[in-house]
Amino acid sequence: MVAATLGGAWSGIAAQRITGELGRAFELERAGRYARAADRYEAALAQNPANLSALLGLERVLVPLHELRRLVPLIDSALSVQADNRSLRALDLRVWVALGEPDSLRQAAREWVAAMPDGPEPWSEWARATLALGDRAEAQRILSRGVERVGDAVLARDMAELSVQGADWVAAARQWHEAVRGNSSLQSSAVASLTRAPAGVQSRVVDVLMADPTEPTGGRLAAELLLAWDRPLEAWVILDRVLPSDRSLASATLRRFADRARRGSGPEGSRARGFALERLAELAGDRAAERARIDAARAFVDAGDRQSAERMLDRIAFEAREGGRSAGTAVATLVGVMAESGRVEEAEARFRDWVGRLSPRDASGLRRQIAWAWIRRGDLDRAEGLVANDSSLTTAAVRGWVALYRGNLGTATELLRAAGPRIGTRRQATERTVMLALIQRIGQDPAPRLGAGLLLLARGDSVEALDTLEAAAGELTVRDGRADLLGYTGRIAVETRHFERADRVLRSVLSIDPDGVAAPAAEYYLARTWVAQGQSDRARDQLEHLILTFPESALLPLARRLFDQVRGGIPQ
Amino acid sequence: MTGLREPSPPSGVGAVPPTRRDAVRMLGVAAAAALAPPIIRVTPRAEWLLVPMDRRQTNHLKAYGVTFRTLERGGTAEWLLNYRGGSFLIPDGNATARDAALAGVSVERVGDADVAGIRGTIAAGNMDTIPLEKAPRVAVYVPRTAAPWDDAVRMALEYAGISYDSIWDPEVIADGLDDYEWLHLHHEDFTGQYSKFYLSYSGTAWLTSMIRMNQQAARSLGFSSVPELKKAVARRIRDFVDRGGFLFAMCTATETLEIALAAEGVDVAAQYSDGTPMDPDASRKLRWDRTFAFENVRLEMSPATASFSDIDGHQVNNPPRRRPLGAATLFGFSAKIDPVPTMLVQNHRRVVRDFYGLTTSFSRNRLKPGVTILADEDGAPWVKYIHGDFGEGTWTFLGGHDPEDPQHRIGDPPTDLALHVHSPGYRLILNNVLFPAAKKRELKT
Repeated sequence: MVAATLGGAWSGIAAQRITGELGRAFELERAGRYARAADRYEAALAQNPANLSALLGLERVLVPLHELRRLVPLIDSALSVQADNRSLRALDLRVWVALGEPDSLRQAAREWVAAMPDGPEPWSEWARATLALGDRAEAQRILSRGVERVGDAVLARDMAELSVQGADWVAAARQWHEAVRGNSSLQSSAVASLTRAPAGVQSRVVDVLMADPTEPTGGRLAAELLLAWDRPLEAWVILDRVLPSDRSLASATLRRFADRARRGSGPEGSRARGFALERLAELAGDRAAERARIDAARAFVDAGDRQSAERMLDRIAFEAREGGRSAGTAVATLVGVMAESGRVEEAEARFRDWVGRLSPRDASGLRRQIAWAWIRRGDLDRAEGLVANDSSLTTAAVRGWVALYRGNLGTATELLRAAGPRIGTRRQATERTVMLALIQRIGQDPAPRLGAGLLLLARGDSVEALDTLEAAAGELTVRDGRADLLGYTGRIAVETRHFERADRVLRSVLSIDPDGVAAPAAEYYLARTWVAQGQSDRARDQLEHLILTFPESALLPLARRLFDQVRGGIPQ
Repeated sequence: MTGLREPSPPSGVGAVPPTRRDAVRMLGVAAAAALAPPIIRVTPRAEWLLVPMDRRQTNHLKAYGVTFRTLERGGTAEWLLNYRGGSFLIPDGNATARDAALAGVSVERVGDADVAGIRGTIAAGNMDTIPLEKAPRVAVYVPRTAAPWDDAVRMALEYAGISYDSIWDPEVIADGLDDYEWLHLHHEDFTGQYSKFYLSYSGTAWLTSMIRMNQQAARSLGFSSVPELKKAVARRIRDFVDRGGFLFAMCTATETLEIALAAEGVDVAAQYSDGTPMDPDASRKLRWDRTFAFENVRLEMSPATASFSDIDGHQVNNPPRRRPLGAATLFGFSAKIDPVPTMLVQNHRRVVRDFYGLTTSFSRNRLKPGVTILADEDGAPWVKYIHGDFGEGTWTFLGGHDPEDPQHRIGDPPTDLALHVHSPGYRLILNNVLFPAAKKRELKT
């Protein structure tokens, strides 16, 4: 009993001593004092020859000291104590690789195989070590021998990685498939590895995985790969066929697919996401189903598939009504979709039906959205009528724009100014500021033709809008802001890619008032016109003139950036 | 430190003209001889443009371009070392003022009296003035087809508006380096192993194209393999420096150039690049007396590890040995005694955030004696920025790939320098471009 207690105390002291040595060794290693760190690691090993932390530390510091050979007898001692320690065995192989001694590596690996005849690790590490020596063919042979001894499944991953390194993508697909069938947690690794397959072999990889269309593992791998290769609809078609029968597994698969589809680009990705979420909703309980349908509706809206979006939202609204619940978000989304797609009457009717159950914030937002839909239809009265009783600042902006489209510049100025810079998105605030700056320069009020031109622009008829705005400018004298309105017209022409008109209109600004307030912007947009038409030299001259003539202009940062792009100083 | 050597014979009939490096070196001789105010050609009643390089400068990077183009137009400038972040003083002229305005570079118009005050300040402190007289002819070693956006130096040159030529293996082998005074190397692998990405990126289009292009070049130039071609290119580059050229290298070009120079007659390339495995005893056979900066280097033997040797302290692609990034501190040199290293570290900040590259840093214990350390990380076993002489020329190595993309990964979007106009890391690159423009100061007797 006494001996046992003393023995316990002694081993505790020894352990503390080792910990102390290791701590000092780590500190020395961190400070780059490798030689002294090596001494400390060796001191720790003198206490416990199989201390793995010390051995690994010694490996790290002996490499820069070019003294890795010192580690060989220490590993032998450690293995004599713990012959079946996998980390020690792997370290043994690594050291022979680093020393460039393939014969010793082979011997060490064979000893490991003898010690663990049924384990895959010796074959796996042996192959990796051989590959590190640059001999891929030998690594392949080693793995093949391992497969004969311990079976395909456990070494399939190593085989697959080796095939990937050799750019043998078809073999890699087959081997990864095998590996994932044996261990489903390898799916992410398989996808990460096979994703790198070049475009030319991607379809062959999918064919290999789908050789048996009823086998689910290959299908799921193929679906994930197609998604990674930005072929989301093909991915969805495959996944739909191979969803797990277990409800929770299927839900997890669908959620993962939907999340990954969101990262893809373009409407196809959104549509595939929508389909996955729609299917998810069918598997989920009430609340989760509603959330999934809302998300699906948004995805379909993003994809431009309004019909599918409405199908989702109608279902939510119906179920909410049946269950007597509020479905604010769903209704708001549904009404928004209707308004966006031009079904304004229906949107307004649905809004009036639900407005009592919407939050004030949702109600106000929808009111604005529907009002804008009326504006886009050209019905200013209905737009105004909808927001007439809403005195909030957010609707002041809408009323301001309506006044502007009627040509009432004074009222428009007052309301747009009242809306201030913080209402709506940043882009909306910037548009208000630009418009306020323009109409303050216009010396005519009312200006119905200007309002008509801007309304046409809001309705998306840029050709008619440009004609009308140019005509409106023609009604103004230079003192009443003719150059300013022409400058704005030119800018719109550039942004809607009517470059010929932009060139003509912007030049007329510079001939009317070459030193006026509108001149710097006219020069900048003229330069953009030329850049868009591939006339870099002209653009460069124009920008030089702008930068040197108007050094205080607020447009200077934009002009300099464009100048740098034109001369190739920064990437496009 | 920059060594003081026997001055070259005076120029004239039968005399060997001084090399450009001699000229720069003599700056130190002159300064050491007399701490008197420097001799400046002052035109009576001249007005000047002071290009401040401290925190008041609105575009540090383009300021170098403005100065460079002044020299290109045949004008002169002075580099005011350690004065307001290493400012430039340029005789006022319409072209320079216009250029600065276009570039968005702040300049201050100063008169002769102000300049006299500045010179007094410089004479009294650890500062000096270096006349800049001629824009160096700049070459960048890169395939002609490569876009500039994966090379920090080309990005800096393009952004600052400094003209350069791209040259590659055929031009270098045909002694095309003789046409230039300054040469830049970036992430070329002079061991001919395609940056050791062969295994990890096999099958990718960019690697396939790189391999094909290099193999074609080797064949057409009569070399048995890409590694042999690259070794020959490395020797030409060493000869260029030996004859008085200025070499600036970054990232993996630094490390692999040295290995290629040390490996004459030794197979240091993996089987995939030359058909034969690497000599297992290669590290022992390397000849470090043939290189610029390093010695006693141990090579990385695994062809699957994208690392070349223990020169690099950070080993970004070698997970067990990878070290985290810190920050590098620029050394403060005596401007009047050591003008060359002083020029190379001119900056508005002393501490530069570190950045990874295939070669990020240089292990202290692999540096040759006599190498000048320009920047290091306090307490770390590596340094970031080094410089030295070789023959009649000089070399400067900066570790890392892109000062404003610290984690740089293949496929990252290009860096937009318009968003980094005050980058202290990029300033180090541009210091190197202007450094060969320095003029020999006349010796006072």
